[in-house]
Amino acid sequence: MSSTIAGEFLVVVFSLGEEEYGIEISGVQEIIRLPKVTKLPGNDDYIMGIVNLRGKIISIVDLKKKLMLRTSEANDETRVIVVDLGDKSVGLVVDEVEEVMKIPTEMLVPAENIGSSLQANYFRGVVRLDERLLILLDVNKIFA
Amino acid sequence: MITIDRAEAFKDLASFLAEIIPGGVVFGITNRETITWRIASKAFDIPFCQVGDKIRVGGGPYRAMQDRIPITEKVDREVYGVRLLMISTPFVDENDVVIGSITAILPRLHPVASAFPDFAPIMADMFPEGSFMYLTSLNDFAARHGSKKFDVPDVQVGVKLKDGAAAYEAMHTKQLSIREFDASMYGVPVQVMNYPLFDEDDAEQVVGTMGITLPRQHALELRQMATNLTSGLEEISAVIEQMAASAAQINSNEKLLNQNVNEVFKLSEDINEVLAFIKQIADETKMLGLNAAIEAARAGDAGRGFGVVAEEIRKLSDESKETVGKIRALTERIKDKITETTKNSQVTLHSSEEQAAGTQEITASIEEITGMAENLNRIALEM
Repeated sequence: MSSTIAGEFLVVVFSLGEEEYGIEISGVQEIIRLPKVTKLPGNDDYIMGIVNLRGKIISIVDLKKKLMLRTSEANDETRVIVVDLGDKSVGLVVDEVEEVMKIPTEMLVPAENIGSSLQANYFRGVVRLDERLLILLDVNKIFA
Repeated sequence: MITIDRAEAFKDLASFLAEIIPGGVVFGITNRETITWRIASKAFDIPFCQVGDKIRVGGGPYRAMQDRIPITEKVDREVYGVRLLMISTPFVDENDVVIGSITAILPRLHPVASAFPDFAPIMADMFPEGSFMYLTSLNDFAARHGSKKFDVPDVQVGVKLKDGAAAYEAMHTKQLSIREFDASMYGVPVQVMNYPLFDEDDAEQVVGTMGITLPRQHALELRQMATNLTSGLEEISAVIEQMAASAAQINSNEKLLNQNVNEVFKLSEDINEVLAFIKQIADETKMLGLNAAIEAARAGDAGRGFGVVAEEIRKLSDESKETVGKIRALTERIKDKITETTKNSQVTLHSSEEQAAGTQEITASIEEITGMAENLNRIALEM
């Protein structure tokens, strides 16, 4: 965790529907607006298609569909978080990117402590903020 | 030729004859110089021509004796104060010398004058404000009758006509004369009408006038009221014209206001467009800030300072976005107020149009009334 210092880590906070999610900043490449997507037939339906990002072909994933959440139309706030999966980059479509937040490590409740019913594979855990909960996703596990 | 004995016999018959002649008669007998005998009817008598009076030189009896023929003389009012007819015939003695005359004196009343005592009392009160009726000879008043409502006590029978009296005009022009006098003469404004009376036997000769004086207080008041009414209506017309001008002014002001308000409405929309642009910039800035933070994180410790700046930029962009929201709420309120103002000014516009229509109706009515007032004025002038 190169981006953390003395028990802190940085998270890109975004929303999907009513809930707030976070992705650790080290895995994030950049944030862009939703570009025109070229559809690819015969793929999983959560893959919206591909785009050409400055010469690099990346897949665009409807993250809500992937997480089996209620989907919605794209609007002015819709953003794509481009994440680095080592060998490839994937664009995750989210409702809105809110901020980059610095989170003390002790506020993270690891997924294994929450309960067996969760699809624990996708989550690193939950961060308790003052009056809200932030679900911390593990992108590498989602697209493993 | 009548002889003296027959003349004496006439005396016996005269008293009987006098009473059977309509209008009455005075019989007289003269010698060559004086009146020697007379008898008068009950209906008519005269205070002159008494026994012992000299006969008039050139008069009817004088000429009858002179010319030895019967003479009929019309005696004008100027001689005895009444108009008379004198019929004289001479008589002779046994030697055929004229020694006297027999004369019948008959009243010579104009038909209008003789009827005056009958019609004047009937007619005088027929006029709404009463009337004063009179007859004149060529120079004085011969008969008079005042009504219950109006009389001229100064004018009595025998009073001389004044110089320039209305009656003179009728005598000279031989036509109906109508004159109007203000209240200074009789206390009320009057109209004086005189009609010339002509000799029964000579239609060219004026013998007097019949006059009627009509008080005209009501007519004058009516005329004044009609004049006041007309001028009052003119004033009302002027005021209404001013009102119509004001209504027109309000109307054009409201239209201008409406136009201005619409422009303000459009300006609010323009502001909203600018806001949309500012929001877009804020969005873009936020994305730049987020990406800068990501880059800073990737740079590790070296990027930490830059990360703080990136966070500040993102915060600023958030604040910009919030401000845009607030301004938009304000412009919406402006638009609401403008809609309200437009509605109110429409009501005012409608009212001012109704007012304009109302004034037009009033103007039409006033014109109608003015027409009536003018008619009234004309009728009052003719009265």
